[in-house]
Amino acid sequence: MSYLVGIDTGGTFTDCVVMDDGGQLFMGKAPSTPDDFSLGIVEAVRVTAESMGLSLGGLLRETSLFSHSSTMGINAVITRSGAKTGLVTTAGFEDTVLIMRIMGKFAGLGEEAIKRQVKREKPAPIVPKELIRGVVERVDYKGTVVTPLDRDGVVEAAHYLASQGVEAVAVALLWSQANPAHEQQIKLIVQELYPQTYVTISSELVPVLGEYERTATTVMNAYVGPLVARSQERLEKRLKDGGFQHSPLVAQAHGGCLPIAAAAKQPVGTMSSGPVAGIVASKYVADLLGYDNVITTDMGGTSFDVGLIYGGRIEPAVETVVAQYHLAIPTMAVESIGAGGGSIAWVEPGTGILKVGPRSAGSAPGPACYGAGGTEPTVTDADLVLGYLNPQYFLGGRKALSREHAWQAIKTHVADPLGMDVPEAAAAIYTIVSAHMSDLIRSVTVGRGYDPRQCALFAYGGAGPVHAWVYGQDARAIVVPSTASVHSAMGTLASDMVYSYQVGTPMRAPVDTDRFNGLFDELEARARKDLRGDGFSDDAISLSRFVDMRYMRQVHHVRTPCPRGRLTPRDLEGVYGAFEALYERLYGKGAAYKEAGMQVITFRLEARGRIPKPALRKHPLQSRDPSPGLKGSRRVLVAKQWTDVNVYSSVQLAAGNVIDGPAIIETPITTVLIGPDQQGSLDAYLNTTIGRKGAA
Amino acid sequence: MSPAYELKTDPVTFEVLQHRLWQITKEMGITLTRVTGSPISMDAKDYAAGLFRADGDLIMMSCGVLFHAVTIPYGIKHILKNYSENPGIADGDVFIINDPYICSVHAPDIYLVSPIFHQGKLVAWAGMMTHLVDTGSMDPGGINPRATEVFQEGFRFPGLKIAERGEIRQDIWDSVLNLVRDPGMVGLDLRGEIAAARVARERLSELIAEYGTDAYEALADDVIKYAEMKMRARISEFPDGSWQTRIYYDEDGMTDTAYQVVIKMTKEGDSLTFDLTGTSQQAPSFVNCGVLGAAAAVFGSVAPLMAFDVPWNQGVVNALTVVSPPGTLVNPRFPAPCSLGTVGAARAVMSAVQGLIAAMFITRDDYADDFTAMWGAAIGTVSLAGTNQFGTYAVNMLMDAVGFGAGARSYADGVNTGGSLYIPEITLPNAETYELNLPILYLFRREATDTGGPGKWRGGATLEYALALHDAPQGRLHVGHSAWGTRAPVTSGVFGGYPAANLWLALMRDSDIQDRMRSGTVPHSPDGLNGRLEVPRGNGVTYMGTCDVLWLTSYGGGGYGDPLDREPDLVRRDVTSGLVSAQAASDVYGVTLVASPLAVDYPGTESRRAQIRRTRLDVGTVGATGRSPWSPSPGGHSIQPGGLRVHEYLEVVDRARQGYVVCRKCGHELCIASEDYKAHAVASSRPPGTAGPRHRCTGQFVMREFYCPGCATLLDVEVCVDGAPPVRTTWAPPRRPGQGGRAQQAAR
Repeated sequence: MSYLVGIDTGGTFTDCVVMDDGGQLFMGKAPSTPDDFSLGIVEAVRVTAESMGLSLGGLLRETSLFSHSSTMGINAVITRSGAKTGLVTTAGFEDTVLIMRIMGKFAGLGEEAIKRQVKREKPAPIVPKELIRGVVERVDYKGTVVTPLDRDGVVEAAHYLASQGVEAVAVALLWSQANPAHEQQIKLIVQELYPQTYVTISSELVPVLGEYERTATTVMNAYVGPLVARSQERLEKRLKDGGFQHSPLVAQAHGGCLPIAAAAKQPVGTMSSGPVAGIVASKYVADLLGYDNVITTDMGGTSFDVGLIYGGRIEPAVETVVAQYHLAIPTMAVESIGAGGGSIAWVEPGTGILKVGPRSAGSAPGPACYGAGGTEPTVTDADLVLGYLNPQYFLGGRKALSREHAWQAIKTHVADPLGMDVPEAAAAIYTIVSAHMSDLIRSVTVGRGYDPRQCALFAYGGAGPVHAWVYGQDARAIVVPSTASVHSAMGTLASDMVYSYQVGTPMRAPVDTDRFNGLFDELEARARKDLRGDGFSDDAISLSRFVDMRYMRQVHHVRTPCPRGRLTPRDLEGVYGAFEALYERLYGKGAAYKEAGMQVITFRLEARGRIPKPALRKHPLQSRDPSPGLKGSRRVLVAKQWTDVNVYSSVQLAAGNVIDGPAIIETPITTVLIGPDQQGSLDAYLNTTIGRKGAA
Repeated sequence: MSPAYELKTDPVTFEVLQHRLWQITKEMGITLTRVTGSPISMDAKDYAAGLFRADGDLIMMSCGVLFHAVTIPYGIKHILKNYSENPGIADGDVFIINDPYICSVHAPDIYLVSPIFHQGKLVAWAGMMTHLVDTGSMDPGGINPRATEVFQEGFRFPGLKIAERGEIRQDIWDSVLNLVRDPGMVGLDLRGEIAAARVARERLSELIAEYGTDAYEALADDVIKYAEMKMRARISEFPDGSWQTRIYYDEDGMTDTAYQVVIKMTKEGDSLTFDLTGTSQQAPSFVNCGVLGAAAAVFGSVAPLMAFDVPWNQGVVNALTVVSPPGTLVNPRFPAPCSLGTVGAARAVMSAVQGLIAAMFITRDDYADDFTAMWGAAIGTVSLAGTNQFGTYAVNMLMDAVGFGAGARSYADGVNTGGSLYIPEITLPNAETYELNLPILYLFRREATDTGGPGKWRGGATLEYALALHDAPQGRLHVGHSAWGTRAPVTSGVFGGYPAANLWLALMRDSDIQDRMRSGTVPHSPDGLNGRLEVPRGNGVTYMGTCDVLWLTSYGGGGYGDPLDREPDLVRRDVTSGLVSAQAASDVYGVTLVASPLAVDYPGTESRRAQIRRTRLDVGTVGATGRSPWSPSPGGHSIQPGGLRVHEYLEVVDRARQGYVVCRKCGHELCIASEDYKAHAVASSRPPGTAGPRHRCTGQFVMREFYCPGCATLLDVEVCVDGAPPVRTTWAPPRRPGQGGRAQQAAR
């Protein structure tokens, strides 16, 4: 037997999913251990192994692939507990990372926070001003050296930073993406003088246009580097001690994994890999079910996250924001609003308008129905009052809910002030939060030129399946994946090895064909070398080229797919045409203005090493009759009527069952609501697909 | 239903659809900025995109520049009034309008407005704005320091149909672009606005198809009414009263004439009036603003400060009255030039309003964290025009000056390089982005020392940069610059906080910069180059050659409270990080530091501060402005609890039905509340260096300080024309909010 293991390290729990070579899945959880995440990871594996009747060693010795996502880096940034880090930059530009292009004041914040200008702050600096050292040097936009590097100044800066006790040094110079020589020299000097220091240079990490984003990424990488490296060493050792004979993989924000050694050089790549892993898992399930276009929705306690897969590709993000910093690492688009199970409903004084969020009760005190001291009504309280949730079987019975507390909170804070009865008020809360989520989905799809009716909508996260039947109505089908409880862990397991290369070399169109081809040839050679080094044969390697293009003098770039091989000027005309077509699709007819001229800004290569995985085990299809799974009925308020609806237990349902709505399926981690005009069916993988009655 | 609920739409549907409208305008804004891609729209966020009612009133707007919430409706109303019959208004039409005598605050702000019909009925307008890089005016860039009449300031459309029933009119399109120097960039801007109109039309049509025209129209009315209810409730929370302020515009681009903008804000019940009577006569040059400039600018500060939780729409505007006398700087008579507009006279108004709101907000403890000293008040814009390194003629506005410092707050320093209050999501382009597009090379770009206004809380530091030509095929670029506040520090502090340092614009001519770059010996500051320092008038037109260096320091934020009250260790921290010089630490903050490692000498600081306080009382006199010293009433000199706080250091105490102004620090009674307290404070004209090494007063300007006679605490700093009377500051007997007026329930 051989096993694949996927891990997601969350703030509270570490999830584990194991797949055997028959394609069967096993899942387990353990509390996360922030002081040493590897403990929680190993514990989650042990728990899962036990559920399979194996010992930890028994599982690990047979494990061929171990892939994990880590919140280590982002935690270190949020709590400012990373390494003491120094920055070496071009003299005169020491403040670039403090000025933050002003954007640090509002990046990643919601509308309410942005409008209240007086209260806004930039985040506490990751590298304080005292640890930023300018060195005399200058390169221009063509990569030509204008001022040679002052090597004595570099030595002086290195000694100074060492005297301040820095553990890591980031090096980010102007135009280093056009000419990395000065950064490379600085790296050599620092490493020679202080070999223990963790050094990151921007031209290796993110050689792209834009000194702020490049510097911020480099600084953040240095800041978390030593910590992540130590943590990964510990994990590697623990796994080895446990019997694992290979090297673990680390999930990246771009949706793939990297070998631990490569990942250690760019730990900033793990930032925000968690939500992205959820999209990767969705893609894995979507591929099995034959969906090319998918809207992914993750509704947790405080936020609602939406991603998009279109034409079989995960939509990349236009910009990457981590802890109010803009970073130059590629990631996948995840749009978020403050709408979750814990979002607080309130009536605005003086106007009588009902609002939901953006404040959240979080997990402590949590919704009023948790009985943990929360008195303000939340979305979860409304769900409970409406009958959607089972007070005795929330999170599989792990948490008892108090309907009385929920009722009282809604009565006091919403129903009485609005002159409504309590169920009416709960329905209003439900309607508003669902509408806000629908708006976000519309903005992610229609707003970017995609048609939601051509998409399946995946719902996961604790609260998603309770609401998806409403917010997912525009989609062709709603899918609640069977792995929803460990969706991100499933994503890391399902990932391929992906190296993402980017080079910022602006070229005006028509570009010099030889230079263009040469650049991609170089990248492809690097990619092959890297993937072969990891043991991939040529037929397991797939390479995709992209160029970020823009109209001259424009700020924004459109990522344009680009054919492989030696391109002719005629082929390049095709690339320009593709850029223009994409541009028009995104911004409408007439928005493209060719006369301004075009420019290629960034060359990108995505190199994927396909990791073979067993086919997910199919369950034999049983009859359509779901009655063996029926556990009772309960009164719920749907479509403005109290109705008795059937309640099913997911563990007793079988593949092939079809359930007519309105109905509820209770799973150990969430509750699936099927609307009155809908029906839900369980496929061979036990995913629940909700569609219009008669459509299936 | 709650008694306060007065809307036609039920509260649940209202919240659902309001959010949907917000999402639509947000999408309009994103589409506009991404299509235009000009640094002005994309980075400086100098754009607007909103949905308007059929009659032109604003329903909802996406956050660009807030001014246009006020102005676009006038454009739409003008078109409705004048062009409904001929040429007619149909679905899919797009009108271009930019006349500053109709709606635009200055001509480079181009509005495109497009009517939206549903089943043959006009139901809404989409309204967009972008700031064009050129309008075909006498000088490249649309902002014209040399203009003497508006005819020289580029095209000025009162409403021209540029697209008809969804199709661009090619003849009109070509004609518009024929008028400008940079048709490529202008074309992108116009396309961006058209793309946003398309988004508005599609999304709104979906909404109306789903909910019906009646429900939509009720909603549109309700969203405006809702905002007005909230705004009026907010205003009602403050005591009735009036507050005055004054800001100087220190030159007009032709002469050193000083112009004053005077504003009296009166709060009565649930409305606020801003009366600009007393503002100087219009200038003969471009520093005036369009006729709606004052109203737009008032909104620009009121919205983020007072309506932070209210939709920014017509409802907020309805609660405000702006009196803008004709023939003045803020409401010039045709055909006065006004192309500086938004960043000229209008910006002066916008900045001054921030101080007025601070004075009103401090009367309520629950708003003590919600106001600031002035944010960087005056901007130094630089337009560079000429042939770039790719051989293309291009006009570019450098947005670096938007790295303003934010005003200090009652509880914290202002944010360094914090941006603009009225442009919530303003960003600064990367230096690399400019160098990629323009034949220039930055020498430095940094947060500048001693630029934030000193105070108990320091104003945010601002951005400073210098650049030289690089790879310029013709070795020369045209430079248009419009900067004010160079001759006097016009960004005021509040409650004894000092103003931020002056804006600085200079050229180091015929320097050895090219050699120095090659040898790696570029000095820290351009005045260390061998060359000729030229400090031009802030507003003007010049050029740069290959041996010239352009050097600009923008404005920091104003300080809050007396700098002698600043925690000494914060001063030490500022010196360490280079935001405050050692000289200012000692002279302005009275903090004595000992070196390596830098530490506060606390006893030394105590005596230094005592010495500064003694000097204040020595150099100043009570009644310097012609009033006799106040004789404290019997029982004075002690703080009476429960007074109305009217200032960081002053409160109005009610005694025997008379209000007295009392120092909150020492209990000194200054005067009765209906008298101007400044007449009873110790007053003195001080050298501007008292506020910091980079503060200057040139020509007719002086800096005046007012101290508490009891404890020498700095109560106010005024920068004004020599001989001008102090801004009168009086308080009516302390009336609690909710007394009188149409007070409503608090919206908090």
